[in-house]
Amino acid sequence: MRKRRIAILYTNTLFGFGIAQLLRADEQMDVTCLRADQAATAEELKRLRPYAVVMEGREESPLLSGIVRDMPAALFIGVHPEDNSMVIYHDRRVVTGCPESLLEAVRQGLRDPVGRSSALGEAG
Amino acid sequence: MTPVRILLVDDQLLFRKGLRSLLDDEEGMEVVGEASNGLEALERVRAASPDIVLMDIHMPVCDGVEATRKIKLERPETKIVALTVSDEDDDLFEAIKSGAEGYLLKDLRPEELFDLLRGVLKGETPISPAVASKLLTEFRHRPRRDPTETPGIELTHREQEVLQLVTEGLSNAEIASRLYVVEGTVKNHVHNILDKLHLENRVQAAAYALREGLIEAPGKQEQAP
Repeated sequence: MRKRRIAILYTNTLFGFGIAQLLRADEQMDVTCLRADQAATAEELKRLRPYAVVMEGREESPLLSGIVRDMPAALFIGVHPEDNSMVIYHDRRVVTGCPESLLEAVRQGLRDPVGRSSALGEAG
Repeated sequence: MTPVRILLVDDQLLFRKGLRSLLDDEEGMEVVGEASNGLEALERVRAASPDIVLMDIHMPVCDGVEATRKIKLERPETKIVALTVSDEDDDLFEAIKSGAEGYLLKDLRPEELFDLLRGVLKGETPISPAVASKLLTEFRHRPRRDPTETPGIELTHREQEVLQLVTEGLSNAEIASRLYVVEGTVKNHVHNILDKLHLENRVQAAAYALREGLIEAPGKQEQAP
């Protein structure tokens, strides 16, 4: 089975690497960590073409807005550790949830790749 | 080798789970419990007797500073390291005053954290560089005081030398090497310093020494006149 690329955009390194470690427990996921506050991150994301983007921070972040605009087919999850919440952007829907359901949200997306390009986010 | 037993205290569930996953995968580290606030932390410490508590500062119900104070009162042997996003001076000083052995920001790579935690059990004092530099910048401008003028504190010349090196972040082994003495001698000096200053750990000693002007702020002597 082909792996799906997942990108983690983090502000606090331990937080980002921790989420990555949790997601890597699923063999279907090929996880890459990128700093959210670096100029090169947007370009790196375009190159990676991840299936899903998990971002630490608020949805009004300019970087996240840009990603949503540039990669409309991907699954986006904004995680807000400060208030233990997350927002999922999926096929023009916006769903709020608890961070403990992050893994399930990503897995659900993997099982339900509606309207996606077949090449999007596939690794190797 | 006996693993380092760690308690995670943070109200951010996903951060806790992620950090636990990282620590559990690291050889020689064992997470023995989690807590989402200071009161839970105290209960877990009573139940699990961890070697190290990784303590968030801002939490509901009972914050990390208060929890550190309570845990140190009951279990002074428990090492507590603040792990937080806050680089505010007030949080840093309150955490140290409450008895924390270290203060780390969450913007830290996992392998750095693992090394620092191993160091804690050897008596080292982890402080994130960004916070340490703020602390030193703050104190660098304070006037130096003659230790003999400080009522009730009579540090020997050697103890002042050791305190200076503690403040520069050196471990006992490094201080021993610098002063050409054995590590046990340095341990004795540190013990005597803490005893005389009525403090609990090296971080407190360093902060106290800088605040009271007992020693030269690290880096000041290298500044151009």
